[in-house]
Amino acid sequence: MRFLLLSGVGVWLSVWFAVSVAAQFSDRAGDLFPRSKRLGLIPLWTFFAPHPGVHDLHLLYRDRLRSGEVREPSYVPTIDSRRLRHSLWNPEKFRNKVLSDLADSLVEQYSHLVKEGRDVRVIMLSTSYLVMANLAMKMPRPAEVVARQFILARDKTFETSPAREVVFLSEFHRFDEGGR
Amino acid sequence: MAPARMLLKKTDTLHRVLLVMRLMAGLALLLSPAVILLAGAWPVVALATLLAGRLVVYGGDDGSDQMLTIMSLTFAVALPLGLVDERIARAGVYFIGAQACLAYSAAGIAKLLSPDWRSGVAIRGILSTRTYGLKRVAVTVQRYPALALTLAVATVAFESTFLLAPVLPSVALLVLLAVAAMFHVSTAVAMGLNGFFWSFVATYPAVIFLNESVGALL
Repeated sequence: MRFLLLSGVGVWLSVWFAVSVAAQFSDRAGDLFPRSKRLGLIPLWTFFAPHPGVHDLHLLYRDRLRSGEVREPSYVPTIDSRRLRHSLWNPEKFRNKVLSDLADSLVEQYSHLVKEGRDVRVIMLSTSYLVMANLAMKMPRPAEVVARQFILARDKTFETSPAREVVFLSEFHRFDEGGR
Repeated sequence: MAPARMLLKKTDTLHRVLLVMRLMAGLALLLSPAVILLAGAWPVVALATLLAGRLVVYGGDDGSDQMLTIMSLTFAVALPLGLVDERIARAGVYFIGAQACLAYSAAGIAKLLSPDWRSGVAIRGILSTRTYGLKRVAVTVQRYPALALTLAVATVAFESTFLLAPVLPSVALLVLLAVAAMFHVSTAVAMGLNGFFWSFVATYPAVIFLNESVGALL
């Protein structure tokens, strides 16, 4: 019994470690165990390499008025500024990371669709698009606004010249009649 | 309340609850004399909170969560079974020590192969974001490009050295672990990556155990 237990755990940990090593070289190693990968059990330990994220992704929106005029973009606050206390207790990091992951995912999916020559409108069914649209549509809406478009733009906030670059533009989405 | 907070309020609250539960499990292990009982119980609590977080939320996790998940699952299995046969507990500790060495060395080598890291551009870029930077730190690094390059070289050097951690002399290993711990303190302050300190420093006893066992074999 002891031998069986020891052998079983030994084989399990050996296979797990071998797959972990292989996953550092190829995505396919992790793809063999999709459920384990989803649970974070097949690690990719190449933190911030080879190409680290060097931009902040910002969510903006612009409104179309009843007259047809389109307003200047406004900013949806999604990135919390950090404080020194975050060195010890930083649960906000999780929310910032969720939104950052969603924005990255949206840009990546859009690029993939363009590259494949497919209809880019299918992106409107993606989780990341729906969350971003939801966030933008929940911002205050003046009475004369009939539709809203969200925009993903990136910059380097603390750079000396933080030029902002648009990386995604959504469709204009109409508000429900009487909806606020 | 900002829309991002509104939309994620439920998962945000759940996330805080799970963090507090995990913290309590860790404190119980530290403070209770019933170590044997808790050795089996705490990894289960830690594992349950980690998996619950992963199952209900889209994204948001990072490498520190991954290491905690791997460690919790391993110890949830290996420590209770280790009461039957000590070698199973040892196998679990070896595995975590090896994962830590793999994590640091993979990170170091991946950075070494990246032109952005070798030139120092990566450090400057990361610290220039509001997500991972602080204005004062970002401005300092922009003013002194040599500092960015030094930081990049130091990071690559200490991370890559973990490839040799199982065979290093004891003193060299302790110095390496001290450097790594200081690195995590600095990234917690400068980049807000506080989770990495707890999850990776928690693996150091396993790295030392692995090193001592390999040393005894050689």
